[in-house]
Amino acid sequence: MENNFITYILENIFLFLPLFLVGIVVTLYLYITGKKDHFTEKKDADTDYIKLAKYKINVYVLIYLFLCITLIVLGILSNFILPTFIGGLIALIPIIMIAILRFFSNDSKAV
Amino acid sequence: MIWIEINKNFGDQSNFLLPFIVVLFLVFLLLLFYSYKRYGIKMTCMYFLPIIIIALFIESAGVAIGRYHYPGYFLYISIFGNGGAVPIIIILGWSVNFIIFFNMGKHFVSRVYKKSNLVQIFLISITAGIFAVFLDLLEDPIAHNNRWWVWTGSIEGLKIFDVPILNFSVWFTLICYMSLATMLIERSKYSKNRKLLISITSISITGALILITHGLILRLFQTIGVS
Repeated sequence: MENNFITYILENIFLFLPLFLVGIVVTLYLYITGKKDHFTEKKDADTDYIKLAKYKINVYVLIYLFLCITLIVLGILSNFILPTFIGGLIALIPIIMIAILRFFSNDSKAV
Repeated sequence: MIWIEINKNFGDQSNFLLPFIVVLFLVFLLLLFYSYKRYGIKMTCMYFLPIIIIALFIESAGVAIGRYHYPGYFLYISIFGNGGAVPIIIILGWSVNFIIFFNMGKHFVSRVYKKSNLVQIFLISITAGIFAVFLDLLEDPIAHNNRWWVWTGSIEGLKIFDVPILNFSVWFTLICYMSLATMLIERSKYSKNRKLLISITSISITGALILITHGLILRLFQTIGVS
């Protein structure tokens, strides 16, 4: 299987090699010749929140939760119960971890 | 070389493909709009374009060598001619995955490790990769069962609900390295124009690193007998 992948790269070497070399050269050029702006960017991680009822919820966590729920519903509708149940529990771990973290950082109304 | 194919047998051999596509596309539009409003056009391109291009190459390669295929979608794109056609929504889906896990990684790690340094960048990248695997443990078995994408029998070794364990390592590697590259560029002090250019040209370096790491993980899996 690995041989398949290597063979595939070698078969398309005239596509991959120029792209790789040009990419490296141009990236290095851009890094070396770029002028650095000395401005301070604002720390913006705390502004990705929306308010639902009395809770502040991170936009990306909310979208992740929405995707999880959609997948769980589709999994149940397709009679794929056990893998959906196990996968659903695992997929919810990040949300639980973030919620616990927020709880212990004395900001229990934010997730 | 790049061509687009329209499939007239939409939903053929698949279950619940339409709701999956609709949800994925709506989330993509939502994230794109949010990013545009929040960061502007240049930074939005910096976040979305590299992952779309890398995903296009990786997915095309995966389909072309016969690891999996995508039956029943409407619009396909191919960069290698016949044999590597990938649904456009899948490529957009990768950008959705990346944006969500990248930002959730930032959100989580910035609470645990507050120093804004290289260690934090590594921690964010690894966390984003792990979160990606968590979601994929739900998504991939359902996708395979409903034939949103189908794993062929070409990959041997340990499987989780018919999904090869190697797949989860690709999810981790791709999201982790893309997060790392994006964080390094995002936190550099170059102008937005230059950040955007570097994010696109550095795809070749990130892609090569992903390929090498994938090869090493595969070798490790083969050594311990799970792949």
